[in-house]
Amino acid sequence: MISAGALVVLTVLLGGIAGPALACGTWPRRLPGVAVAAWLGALAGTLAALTGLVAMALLGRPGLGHHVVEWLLNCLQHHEHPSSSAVYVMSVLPLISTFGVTAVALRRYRQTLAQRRRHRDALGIVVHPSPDFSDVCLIDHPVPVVYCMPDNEHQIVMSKGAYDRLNPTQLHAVLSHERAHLGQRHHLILALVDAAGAALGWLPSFRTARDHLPPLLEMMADDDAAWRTEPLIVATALRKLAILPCPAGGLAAGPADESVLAQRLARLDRAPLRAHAHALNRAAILLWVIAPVLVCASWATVIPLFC
Amino acid sequence: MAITGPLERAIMEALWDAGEPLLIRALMARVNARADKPSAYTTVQTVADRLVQKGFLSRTPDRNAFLYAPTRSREEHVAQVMTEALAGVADRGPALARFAETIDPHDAHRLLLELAQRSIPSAAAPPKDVRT
Repeated sequence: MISAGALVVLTVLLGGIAGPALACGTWPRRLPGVAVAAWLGALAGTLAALTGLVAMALLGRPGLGHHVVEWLLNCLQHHEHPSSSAVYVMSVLPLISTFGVTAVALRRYRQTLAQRRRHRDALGIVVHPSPDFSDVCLIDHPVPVVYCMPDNEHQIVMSKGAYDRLNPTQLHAVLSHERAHLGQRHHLILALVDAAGAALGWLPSFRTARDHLPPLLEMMADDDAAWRTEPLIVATALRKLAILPCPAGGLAAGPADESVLAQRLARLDRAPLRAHAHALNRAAILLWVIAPVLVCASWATVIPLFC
Repeated sequence: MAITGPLERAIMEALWDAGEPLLIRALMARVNARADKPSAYTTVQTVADRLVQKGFLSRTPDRNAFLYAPTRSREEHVAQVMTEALAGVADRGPALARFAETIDPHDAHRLLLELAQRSIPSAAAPPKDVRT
């Protein structure tokens, strides 16, 4: 059995404490995949608990939703619980705030997509496809820049400056990094977390996630590139380049104390642990999916819809 | 989806190279001179109007027709795109510092001119209008 009190405790634990706790440790730099899964698990779990609270207020015994269900059932079998209008108002408030929060998140998400589209349009008239790689397009500019634009035919954008100063193995490492971003849908994670953060910024986990997830996703892509080439090659290529994530993904500056690039280079220099990292990642991702589902299932089963 | 229609790129290239506003007829002649497959008048007009909507071309009336011209030079446009791309990076400082050490003096001069015009307001504001 789960009560509204348990859901409030869960919201405070996952939404208020889990994020800051993940943000202050150093282990996430060693296992960025596990850390990203933990972040997303905390955020999804908070959302599941909040949805549960709203559902309980609305569909629980004296609430408005419950009354609507009762009214529908009355057609079949007449019964009624008396309830006051004050109770109705109380149960409608969470519903209104849910609409508000969803509207803010949707608006933010659409802004991000529109910004990406504008950038893609502007990019489209000055880039040309790379002769060597089918997923790369080149822009004629001396600043060395590589980044990915999702939803394009040529999804990786590389400046002439970057192309000229990388040797073939470094190029391979850099492209592996960007392909890892694209393959693992990091742009989607960033856009969704950004939208959720805009709507639920009063919860510390959502507020801090926007700043702390981007460096972790970069480290995940670094690990993938290091696994396909060598950590040293990735580090050399990083030193030569400004490797960018998707530019219009709602990214913010990283932790102010130590630069993110320095952190990334330091962990590449200490060859990252690999053998069991993959297994740990899978376990963490499984947890990320299962935890919010369990929370949802627990409140869905105890709401007294029919009585 | 494709990154942009090749015709959009060809039209921008033709207008940037022309250096003056063009009527659709003249634009079509220049685009078709380089293309393997000629484009029809109405096709060029439709795509040019789409570029006007996106803000890359301007359209001014000229007697019974319209003159089309790029709103920005090619260099300005590329610099704008690169500034947008660099605004997405958290470690902008070190990236540019490393780059400055290795750049060719001629390129550095060109870049400084471009950056001097636009970097101060846009680089100071983190990820652009997403934050607003």
